[in-house]
Parts: sequence; C-alpha cells; structure tokens
Amino acid sequence: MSRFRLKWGLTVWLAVATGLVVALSWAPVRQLDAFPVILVNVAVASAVVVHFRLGRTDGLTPLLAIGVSLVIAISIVFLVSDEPLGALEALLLGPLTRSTRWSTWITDSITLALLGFAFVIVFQARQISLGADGQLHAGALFGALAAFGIGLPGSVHWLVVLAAAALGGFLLGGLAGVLKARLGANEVVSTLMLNVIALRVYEAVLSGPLLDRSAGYVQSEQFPRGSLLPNLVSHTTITVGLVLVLLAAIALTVYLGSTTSGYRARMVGANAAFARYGGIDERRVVWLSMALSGAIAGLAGAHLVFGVHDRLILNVSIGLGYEGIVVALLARNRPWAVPFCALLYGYLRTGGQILERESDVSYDFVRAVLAVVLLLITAEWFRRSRFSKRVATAGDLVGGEVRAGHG
Amino acid sequence: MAELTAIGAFLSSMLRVSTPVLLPSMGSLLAERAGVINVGLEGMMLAAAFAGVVTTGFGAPLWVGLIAAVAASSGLALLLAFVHCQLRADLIIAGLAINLLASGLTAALLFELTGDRGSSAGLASLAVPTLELPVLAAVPFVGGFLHTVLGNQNLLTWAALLSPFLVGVLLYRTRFGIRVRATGQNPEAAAVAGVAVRRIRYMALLWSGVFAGLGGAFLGMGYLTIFQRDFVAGRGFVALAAPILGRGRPLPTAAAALLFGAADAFSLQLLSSSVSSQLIHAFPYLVTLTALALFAGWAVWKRAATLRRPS
Repeated sequence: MSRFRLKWGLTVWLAVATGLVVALSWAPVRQLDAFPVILVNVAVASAVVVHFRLGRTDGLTPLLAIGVSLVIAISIVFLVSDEPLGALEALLLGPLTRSTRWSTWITDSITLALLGFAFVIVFQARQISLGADGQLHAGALFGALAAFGIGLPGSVHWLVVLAAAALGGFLLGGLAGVLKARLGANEVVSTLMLNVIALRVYEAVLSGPLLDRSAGYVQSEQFPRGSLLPNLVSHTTITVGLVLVLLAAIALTVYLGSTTSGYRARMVGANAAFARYGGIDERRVVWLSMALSGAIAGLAGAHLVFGVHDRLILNVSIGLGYEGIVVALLARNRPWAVPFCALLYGYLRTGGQILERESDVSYDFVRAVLAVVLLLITAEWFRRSRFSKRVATAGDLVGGEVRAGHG
Repeated sequence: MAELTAIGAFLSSMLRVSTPVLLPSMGSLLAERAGVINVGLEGMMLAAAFAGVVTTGFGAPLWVGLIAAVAASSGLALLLAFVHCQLRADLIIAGLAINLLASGLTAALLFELTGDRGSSAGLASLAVPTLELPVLAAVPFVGGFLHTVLGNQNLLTWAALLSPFLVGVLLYRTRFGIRVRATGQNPEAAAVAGVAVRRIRYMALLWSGVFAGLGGAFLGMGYLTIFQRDFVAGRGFVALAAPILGRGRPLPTAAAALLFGAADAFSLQLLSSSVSSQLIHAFPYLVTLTALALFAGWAVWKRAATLRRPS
C-alpha cells in the first residue's frame, strides 16, 4: 500500500514540477535556461522519496511541505526573473532587512494568526465553515460603523470598535451556523455564498456612504484617531493586535482544553454520533463554534483596517481569509501553535511581497506557490491526523473521507 | 405584443447569464452523486477561461482554444482528484487550494504574457459563434417570441441547455452512471459489490472539470471576449448549491441554475437605476442562499410533519 502511494506521489510530483517548468519556459516574454531548475527539482523529488523510504515522516511533514514549496518558489524565480539571485535574496532574507519590513512581517502574522484561530475553532468541531473571508469584511465594516457613528473619548473608542468588529463576525458566522444547525443547510456552500455577499455589501458601503470623495480612488476617510488600535512599537504597524493574538491563544487553549463547552465542541468533532448519544446538544455546538470563529475572524478584519490601513480600502483581503486555513493546518489545530505557524507562513508571504517590489517577479506567483503549500499540507496533515490513525476501515477501501450522498 | 418582446428578451438574457452556472452545475451534480464535492469549480472555470482567451489571443484557432480551456480545467480536476483519492487530502480544503492556485497562476501568467495586470484587453481573442436560427421566426403564432428567446444564442448556451439531458442519460442509462449513484449512496456497499469506488470518484471529478471548463470557456469566449482577474466571481460556488437545490437530479438542478440566471438577468436590468451596483451584483447570490435556506427548512418541516402524522 505505502509503496503504491509512494510511486504515485513521485509521479505527480514530477508531473507538477515538469508542468510548471514547461508552462513557464513557454512564456515567450522570457528567454531562459530551464535545465538547472529541472535538475534541482529532480534532486528534491529524490530527496522526498528517500525521506519517505526511511519512514521518518512524523513531525517533519509540515516542514517538508514548506520545503517543497520553497523549491517550487525558487524554481519559479529562476525561470521568471532576469536577475534571479537578487530576487531570491529579496524572497528569503527580505523581511529581515529593514525595520519597516519586519514590522510588516509581524503585522501580517498577527492577521494570519487571528484567522488561523478562527479556523481552529470550527475545525476542532469538524465544521467545514469557510466563511472567514466574509466575516473579516463584516468585522471591518461593523468596526467602521462604530468608529464613524459613535463619538467617544479616545482611550476607549478602539475597544468599542473591536467589540463591534467581533459582533459583526459573530453575527455572520452565527447566521451560517444557525442555517446549518436549524435547517441542515450545507455550511460549505452557505459560507462561500455569504463570502460573496459580504464582500459586495462591504464594497457597496465603501463606495457609497463611506466614500471619501476627495481621494483619488475608492477608500474611506481616515478613522478618528481614538478608534485606531494603539501602537505597541512606535513608528510601526505593530499594535495591540499582538496582545490580542496572545490573549486569543491562551483563551482558546483554555476553552478547548478545560471548559465544558470546548469539550463538547471537540467531542462533536471527534465523533458526532457518539456525542449525540452522550446527550450533547449538537446544534448548539454547531452554531456556537461557527459564531465564535466568526467573531475572531471579525477581529482580524478590525486589525487589518484599524491597525494597518487606518481606513477602509478596496481589496482589503486578497484571499487572506482562505490563507488562514494554512495556518490552522500547519498548527494541526492546536491553538498554542497557531502564532508560531503564522510567523512561519507570514515570513513567506512578506518575502513574496518584497520580491514583487524589488524584482520582476509578480506576487501572484507567490500566491500560486502558497496554494501549493496548502495542497501539500492538507495531503500530509489529514493522512496523519488522529482521525485516520485508527485501524483499517471501510474508509480505506473507499479512499478519502466517506460522505453521505443523496439518498 | 411589446410585453411579449420584453419577456422574450428577458428570457434570452436569462439563458445567456445562466450558461456559466448551468454547465459547471452539471459537473458539480455528477461529483455530488459520486459522493464527492468539487469546491475547485471556481478555479477550474478561471483557468479554463484564461487558457481559452490566451491561446486564441496568441493566434490559435477557436477549436484549439476550446481544447486548451477544457484541458486546463481537467488538469486541475485531475490534480484535485489525485490529492484527494491518492494522498487522502481533505477534498474541501484541497478544492479551495485549487481556487487559490488558479487565481494566482492566471493573474501571474496574464502579467507575464501581456504585461497587463487586470485584463487581457490587449489580446484579440476569439469568441465561440452564436447559432442563428431564422427558421424559428417562421413558426406560426409564437415565431417572433421563439426567435427572440432562442434564435440568437451562443453555441455553448445550447450545449448548456442540452447538458442536463446528457447528464441524465449518463446517470440513469449507463453502467458508469449506476456506479456513480451506488458510490454516492453507500461507498462501502458499492466497494463490496465490486465497484472501483476510487476510480469512479476520479472520473466524476474529471467530468466536473470538463463541465467547468466549458462554463469557463463561455465566460471568456462568449459572455465576454476578454479575461479579467478573478472574473468568475462566485459562479462556481453557485454551481455547488444547484445540485443541493435540485436534490441531485439533473433537470431540477438545471432549474436551480436557471433560477440564479433569472435573478442575475433581473439584477442586470436594474444596473442603470440608482441602486448601488455592488448590491445589485450581490442580489443573485442572496437569492441562491435564500433558496438554499428555504429548501433546507422545507425539508426539515416536511420530516417533522411526517413524524407528527398519526399512523
């Protein structure tokens, strides 16, 4: 069985690698020498095979996934860029070179960590709620309404804003949760649909009532000073969001590990039928976990607009709401591991942004590579997760997760 | 008579805007009947539209563009099927990864190839031709109406209109179809009965990729003749909802896709009014979500009513 999987793994890896190489060397814009890149890819593929042969896969797999993706990233840089070495330096060491850059790295990681927490909650309860992107927009919007609508003395205004943002996310997440808990509506489809709707409403409010008509492009006026998140480090965008992350890590560890409600959520996640027989109100777990997750995603939205941009802007999250999944998976759904994994992933992301600014490689390539990270991690993570470690069942016969179809 | 023409124009527009949802929803239906969910439809459509527009834009003939479109989306479908069936990746998250991959890769390659970040406006890409049917106007009494609705539709719209019947035959009249349905209903039982469950799911995901490819091709080479960054804008997600609304049967699923199309066509008519255009664009998704909620609620209510009934 494992050898079979191995063979296939190698084949697909080579196929993906050659596919990328072929696709990029076809680009008529660049004349390039693809040979060394192919060589590196083959070398890494063999390293992966050796790694699996030795059977030492435990604990290393997320790092392996990131390593493989780094190789893809480096390959792309070599193929696309005219001066690959400078571009590589920007990608790998860029975030450390200037204080503005490492503060960008930390700031980015704060957002990612909050989104990671949002996914950890729902994944622990085995709800596949993908609504973080919409909840992020809802949080930013509710926060903005509180910032412009309520006049308060400076020292507490930002707390009200944070509460409003959490409320926005809570309501949107709770809506999808209630739809599933009460009506049995598929949460994957409903949250994806809500993401589209929330994004449109955000854009409508931004380009309608909140638009700053004196600015050249679509953005709101700057928020009142008191509503902005206070800085922790002056002259950077590192704000109390950092404290929020640490608090959330502690709170979630306690919630999931040592409270009845968190225990119920984990129990539903581990075995919903068993939890029902044990008398746990599954519906409550479903909507509550999705609403709590939404609240944290809303805070991430508030951090973005009140900590980084200081106003509402278009394209506030470009797929960021989905990238939180990577962090949750890297952390294997353990809340205390989320901040570290966010730092790791955030480093790659920031490096990618610097890469775009300093060289001729666009950030969209980095986004593609990060998607490959997600693909690799989910493959690795779920194979080694607690749930699939039990003895061979019918699920092995079928392959993948067994889902109920239409009756 | 004027009302009739207006209704005809509305129906024609509805068919046109339904096409990029109807085609992928048929793919999504096949996947769901096999017990898998293809969240990557959105990205597959994007990749297909990109491949079609770019290949024809660089001088390839139309049929090459169509093949490139379908190949791009089926390639992504194959990747998804591989990581799910072989590497046991979670299908939903892998599907999302496919969406992100397609979004990043198409945008990056667009910039590499055309030097433009937002759209392929600089490329003179081709369009799939429309099928002119002047014959329809000759039908007695309703000829004018029929001609307004169907006389001037894109070939891919016709493909979309025929696809529910094709999928119906595939599902209910072929050996492959019965295996798909068996796999979806009870994979363990199907496996015990000798159905190669994994292979069936591979095939179902591949088919969904093909349908997504046709839908994406229409978006870039029919509905518009241009590729824009992330311009699928949630249609792939609506295609996920359609089979749920259609309870896994082809014709009701098509009806659900047409409902979305009707809402979309209606909202397009509002565009000139004073309502914010973003809210108008959200309207069809709101309709789909509401339909989903009402439908689920109705099922719950019916089950409760069955339980209440004295037997």
